[in-house]
Amino acid sequence: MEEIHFNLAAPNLLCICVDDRQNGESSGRVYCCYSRAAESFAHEYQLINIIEGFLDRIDYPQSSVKIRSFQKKEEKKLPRPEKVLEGREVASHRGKLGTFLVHVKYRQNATWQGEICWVEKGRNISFRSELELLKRMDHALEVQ
Amino acid sequence: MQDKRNRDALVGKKGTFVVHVQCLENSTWQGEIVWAEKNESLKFRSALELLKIMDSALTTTEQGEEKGESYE
Repeated sequence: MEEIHFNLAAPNLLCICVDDRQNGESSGRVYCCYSRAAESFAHEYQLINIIEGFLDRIDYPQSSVKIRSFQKKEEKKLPRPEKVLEGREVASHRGKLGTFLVHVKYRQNATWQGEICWVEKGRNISFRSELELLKRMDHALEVQ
Repeated sequence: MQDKRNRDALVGKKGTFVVHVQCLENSTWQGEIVWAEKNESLKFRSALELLKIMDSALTTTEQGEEKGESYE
């Protein structure tokens, strides 16, 4: 088992398990502390949607701005879920191609800032936007 | 006829967006997006916001299609 130096106590800790990569698009599963079951993603946009929806649902970290939309109707806010797993349980999952732990620390400038850990290599690096997060993951999956 | 074919090639089946990326700050993109079918525009502050704005337009289109509306 790799040694992980990461904040496993973060309430919004995410474990992204990448299982496949087709035409540069990754697919896999996402785990969090609020569900025993994973949410699957078939491509990066679905992953982004899952993460943003999760951060909105637990309202942590609070976003500094409201995302703009062409939809006039406000989306119904779902109730805050209960924590069912500890951080080390979330971090115990592994992807077939690669595994990343993500801690979104801030949501400023209509984007995310935080830290990502490439579990298989034991490497941590910060990111300043969701674009940078995706590029970090992409680069890691390409080099291995 | 050739002009019509060229114009048709630039229109999406579900929606068409014209995007102008004006700045590259905070490690992401800022600019303006125009939803061509409705001639509405919004400014975006990040790539995330750009994607969510496009998604909101396509969701609005899908809901409209279910009700029998058309934006053409």
